[in-house]
Amino acid sequence: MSQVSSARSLWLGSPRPARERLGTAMAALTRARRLQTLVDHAFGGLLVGLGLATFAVLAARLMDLPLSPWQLGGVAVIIAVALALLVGWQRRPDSLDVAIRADLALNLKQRLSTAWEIVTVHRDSDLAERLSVQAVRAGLPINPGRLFPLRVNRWGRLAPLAAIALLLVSAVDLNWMQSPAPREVDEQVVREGQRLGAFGREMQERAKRERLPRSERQATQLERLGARMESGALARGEALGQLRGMSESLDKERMQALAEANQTDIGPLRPQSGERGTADRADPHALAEQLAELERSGVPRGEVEDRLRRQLPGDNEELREMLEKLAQIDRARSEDKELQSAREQVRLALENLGESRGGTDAGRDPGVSLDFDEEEDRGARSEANAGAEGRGRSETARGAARSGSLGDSSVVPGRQDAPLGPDSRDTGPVLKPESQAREGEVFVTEARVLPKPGRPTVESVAMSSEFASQVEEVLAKEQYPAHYKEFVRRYFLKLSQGRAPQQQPTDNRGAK
Amino acid sequence: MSDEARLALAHERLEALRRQIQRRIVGHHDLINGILACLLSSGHALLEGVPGLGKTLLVKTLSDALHLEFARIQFTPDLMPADIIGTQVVLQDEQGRRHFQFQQGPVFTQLLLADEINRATPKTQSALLEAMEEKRVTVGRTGHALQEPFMVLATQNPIEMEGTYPLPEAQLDRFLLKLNATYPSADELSEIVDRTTGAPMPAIEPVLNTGELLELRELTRSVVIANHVKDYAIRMVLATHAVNGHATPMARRYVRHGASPRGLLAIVLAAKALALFAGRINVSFDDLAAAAPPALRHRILLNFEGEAEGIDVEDLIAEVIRETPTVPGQSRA
Repeated sequence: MSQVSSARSLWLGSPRPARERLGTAMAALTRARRLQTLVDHAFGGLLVGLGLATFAVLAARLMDLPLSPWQLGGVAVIIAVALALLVGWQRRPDSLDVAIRADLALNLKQRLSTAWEIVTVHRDSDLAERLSVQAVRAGLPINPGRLFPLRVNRWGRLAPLAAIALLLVSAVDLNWMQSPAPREVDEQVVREGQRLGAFGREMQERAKRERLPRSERQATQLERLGARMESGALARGEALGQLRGMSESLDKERMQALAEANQTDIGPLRPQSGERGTADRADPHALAEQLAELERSGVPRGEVEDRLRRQLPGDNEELREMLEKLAQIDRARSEDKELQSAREQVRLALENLGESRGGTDAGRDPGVSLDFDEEEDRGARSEANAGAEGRGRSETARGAARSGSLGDSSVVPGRQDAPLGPDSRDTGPVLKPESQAREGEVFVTEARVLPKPGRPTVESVAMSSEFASQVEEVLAKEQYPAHYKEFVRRYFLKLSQGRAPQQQPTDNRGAK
Repeated sequence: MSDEARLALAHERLEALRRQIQRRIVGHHDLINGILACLLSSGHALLEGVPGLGKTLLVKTLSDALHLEFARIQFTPDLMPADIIGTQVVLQDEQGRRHFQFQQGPVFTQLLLADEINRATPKTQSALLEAMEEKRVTVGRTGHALQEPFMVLATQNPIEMEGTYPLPEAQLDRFLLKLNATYPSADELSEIVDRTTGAPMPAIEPVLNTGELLELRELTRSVVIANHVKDYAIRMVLATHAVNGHATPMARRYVRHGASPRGLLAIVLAAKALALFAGRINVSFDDLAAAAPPALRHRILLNFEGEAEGIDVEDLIAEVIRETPTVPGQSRA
């Protein structure tokens, strides 16, 4: 028996009055219609939510907001669907409208809607009964869900497209949107990007392994920069700008890392005093130097630390603090090493992309001690101006000298007391990179020295540009074997340093 | 008698009438439906078509099938109003005294065939105005009521034909429906030849008397039209008004005068009759859509632009039906 015939038989065979049957049918139809409306609204809300989520994710990605696309999209979709359901719940379908729809859907020639209209207005009239009978005889669906099915409406059919759009917006590289116009891909930039990206990933792994947060951050940025360069999104000029920024960022991080390490001590880095193995217990830097030297010589660090513990019984707290400081210094040095390595990669990339050596600080020799921070320089200057007139210049010089030494991973004994060149008192001992130093100013340079136990072979020294030029003139005039030139230069340097300690205050903390 | 029984009886009577008519008339189903709708709705019908399509025969057949008084007026250019209504004549009694006596014209009947009505002058055509609307005739100072039921079935040739006078708008509005007689199909033509050139025309038996007709008319008026269905008819009529918000694009551009309220009544009454034909006691959207063209086509006047561009009123009405939503926001199409 078909659905329709069973429905007819049910309607016609029922002993209940036609009006009552009509009312029951209309209630069922209205419920089905309401459910359908709710589902329709839900699909509409889904589509709107997906659209909103797409725009939100797009905006978040373009503006580099620290929000997860999935969370953002999920929240937008849930809110939109909830609001749509709320609206759908409040929009209760009119029963007469339901009857009209049923009439049209079933081609009942308005028998149902007319009967329902008359029944609702004149419930007890004969006309209502006659029309009810007519409507019942016309046949109504036994299953209102067939008349108002839970369908996927047009909003629902569009929802997959919106979902695809959301996925694309979440996954696709949006750099092309940020560039104003398509440009030709610079192969050199791409190659450098590949190299930097690979280096960044390796550095990231190392930094994670060795727990170096600064290096890890910088490695991530370096990897991103490499990826952007590799994708061709950056023109050469833009890449150079980004690389310069990266270089500055690396320098800053290095300086901060070393400054932190320095603050772990009871004071700034101090010259190595005494003979080897007689380092002051309160000077972790000197101790660290010696530990590193021992480690290089094949003595395991752990063994040294064990022996230290055995030698200092009953003083465990102090020893623990000392060892912790040593660990911090070690970490800072590792950070410095990683960051310096990254900076070298950036410098290489800058050179490969045609950056002139003098055009940026990135072109400097990587072995040179850290750049003097200009802000710190300005701070030191203002501090000096605010201070007493007589000590302003000298204190500024001390502070600058100390700052210059902070960036050097190889601590030079007596460095803070080093003379700043013959004319340092006249010009003011403001340390600058060699490329930025004007005539008469003091700059930081690197000098290679004879290997000695416990000392690095490369030292960063401060010297006046004028004095340096004089040294270079002398070196140029005389004929020396190439490997002697450095020794001669060092000799002149020693000469300049020999006078300086008498002019510089011994206490470096005064400049702090 | 129960409502269902009345409905069944009415349906049976109408079918019998239809069968009698179809014994002589081949085809013209819409025309027959329209005439029967007018008959049940107490309206008058205007039948338009080129000569020879069987309009007059249809009306004569209808009169034969009904137990009603029948009269025919052949409209000609020299026909006078008095020839329709009647006139005062001087009579002399046995004493030799003379007095005026009203001599009823052919309008005093129940079923009046006004053949080729547009061949008479407008003055003569207007003689039917009062009779059609008020079902009475005034001669001098005396009014004369017409019999119930009274129905005018007028035929006319297309107005473009020579020697015709277009009916005035007021006259046209009096007709409930304007029905178009169309050319028969090949099969219908073959059937017409067989029926008319062979054996004599079959005799028609009257199947409906005055009382039964009046009962059918009462039943027709009792057909229910729901408010939302009535609203649809109203929206259709308003859609023919160029300045109304419901107006369709064509109506807005080409219509000078849209359908009058009498047009709305015509749609609803004809729709009720059509519902009764279908055995329903309620009017449907389809009934209204079917009743709209014959009820509106003679009530819509085109403007100069519409006339100049040869706009067909039928197209305009079709657009009105198509564009008017059955319920607001839901189109029939």
